[in-house]
Amino acid sequence: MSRYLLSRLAQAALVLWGAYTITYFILYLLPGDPLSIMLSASGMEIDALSADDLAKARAFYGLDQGLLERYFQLLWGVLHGDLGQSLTMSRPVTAILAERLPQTLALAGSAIVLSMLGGIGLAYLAAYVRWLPLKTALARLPALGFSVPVFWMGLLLIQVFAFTLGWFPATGSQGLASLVLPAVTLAIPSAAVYAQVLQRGFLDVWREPYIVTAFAKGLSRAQVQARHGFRNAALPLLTLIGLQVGNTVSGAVLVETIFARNGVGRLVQEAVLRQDIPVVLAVVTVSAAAFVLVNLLVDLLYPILDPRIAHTAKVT
Amino acid sequence: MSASEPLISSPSLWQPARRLHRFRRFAAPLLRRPGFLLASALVALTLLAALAPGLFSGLDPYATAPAAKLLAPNAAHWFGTDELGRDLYTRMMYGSRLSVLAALLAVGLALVCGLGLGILAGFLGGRVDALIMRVVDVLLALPGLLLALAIVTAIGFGTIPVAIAVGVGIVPGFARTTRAEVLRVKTLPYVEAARLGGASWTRTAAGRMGHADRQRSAVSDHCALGVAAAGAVSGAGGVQSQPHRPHS
Repeated sequence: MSRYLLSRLAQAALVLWGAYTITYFILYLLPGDPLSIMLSASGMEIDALSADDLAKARAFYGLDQGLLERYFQLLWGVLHGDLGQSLTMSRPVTAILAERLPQTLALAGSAIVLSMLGGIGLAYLAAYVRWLPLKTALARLPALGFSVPVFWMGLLLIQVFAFTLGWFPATGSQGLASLVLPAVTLAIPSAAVYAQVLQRGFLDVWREPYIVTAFAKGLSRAQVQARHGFRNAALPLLTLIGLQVGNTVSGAVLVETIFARNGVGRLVQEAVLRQDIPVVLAVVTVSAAAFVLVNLLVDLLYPILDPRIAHTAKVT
Repeated sequence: MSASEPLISSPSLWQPARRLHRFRRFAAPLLRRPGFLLASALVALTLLAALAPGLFSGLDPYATAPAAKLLAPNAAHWFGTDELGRDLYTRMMYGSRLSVLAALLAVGLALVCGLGLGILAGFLGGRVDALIMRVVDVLLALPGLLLALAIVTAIGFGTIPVAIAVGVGIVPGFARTTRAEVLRVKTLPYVEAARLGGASWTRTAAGRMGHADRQRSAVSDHCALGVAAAGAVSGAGGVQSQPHRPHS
């Protein structure tokens, strides 16, 4: 087990390193002239500078070094918790992230909880209900849920609950009330995916022999579903929750822009518009780290939740 | 496709199914399903709007009319007007060209790169496979939108950069599906037969280059592979290109 843990940790670190490397090369290799992008991001015109100033600027941004040299220097910094300096805000990226991250964590966390509650609740209900029209309607709901684009859902919720009913503020990041609409918007697509998979899981599980046995012992339908059906049907959800973290990060960019929340998603959107390369690199790295970490946790949780999955050495 | 042509041109009673005939036999059950008809009508409408947006609206998408700004939908302006008084319905019809172009470019890029990488990894196996799949794993760990945003930061804005950014985001999924499919098809009896028949992997994979008669098995292998991969992939493409559309 400890050997498995070590190899999984090493794998996670390797994926994270790969993600950083690929993003670095995309950001520093693809542009024809990173210096002009960086200068215009800092509010300077490249034509207005003398050759002497240009050389100074090049040295300041570390562009006078080779591509690989710069890469190792940046990587060294990342390993020591230094993500570089923002070009547009002239502050360390770590300070900006520390300021913005709590907002996004609150949003993403509440969205994940809401999506699990909604998705599992819907699928559970759909499996329990026996009146066919209602069952069909509930089973079709997830398809609607992930067909609706996030940005449109956000605008719709603002229109109804903020402008017409006035229950929640439309924008901003102060207090719990302003968290409700964005979290719901972000939760809907994930909830739809969970509901779809769990419904499918229930369909398969109901045909298993141990369900027949449970009924034969005299348990009621509700008891069978809660004790024998749900736990077996819900296993695939765990993997899915890990994978949905990536979608939640992507969704946070849209949702924070729509609801004007001061989070990391909004930060990356602004950074892309101003071509603030260090900030983009840092945010991509941090979100890849979140993704890798959650999936590592999911993999480690599996054998605890399902003892049938044991990590024994592979027979080759 | 050369399989359908008769090898001997002597008149006989049995005729191989003609292309039209085969198409009709394939399409008839589909045409009886309303969902399929509705979906294909929508796709046809979108493509037609992309090719000739002028057919759908007589208005100019760039003509501003400050007096008629922010109108609600009415008979003259089906979707209303924007803050400069431009007709939104017309703008949407003209805008579909860019969206369709970006989506086609993105999926085309993903198809070429993803299929190429997947087939390469699946057929070659060994170290090449391990290397390609590790890179794909890493790309899958990056959230798609963020990867696209990083590429846009590097290469700038516009339809083509955005299409490239979105396309690169879909490549890993395509590559992975294709590789799985190649690995499955690789173990099928007819591929083994082609290999035992002396065909190299390159020849088995790109069997079209082979002689019509001796390489028949390799050709069918290639077709099956293409259809299987395209089937698996077009579903993924349809789903994944959708959320990015407003982005372009």
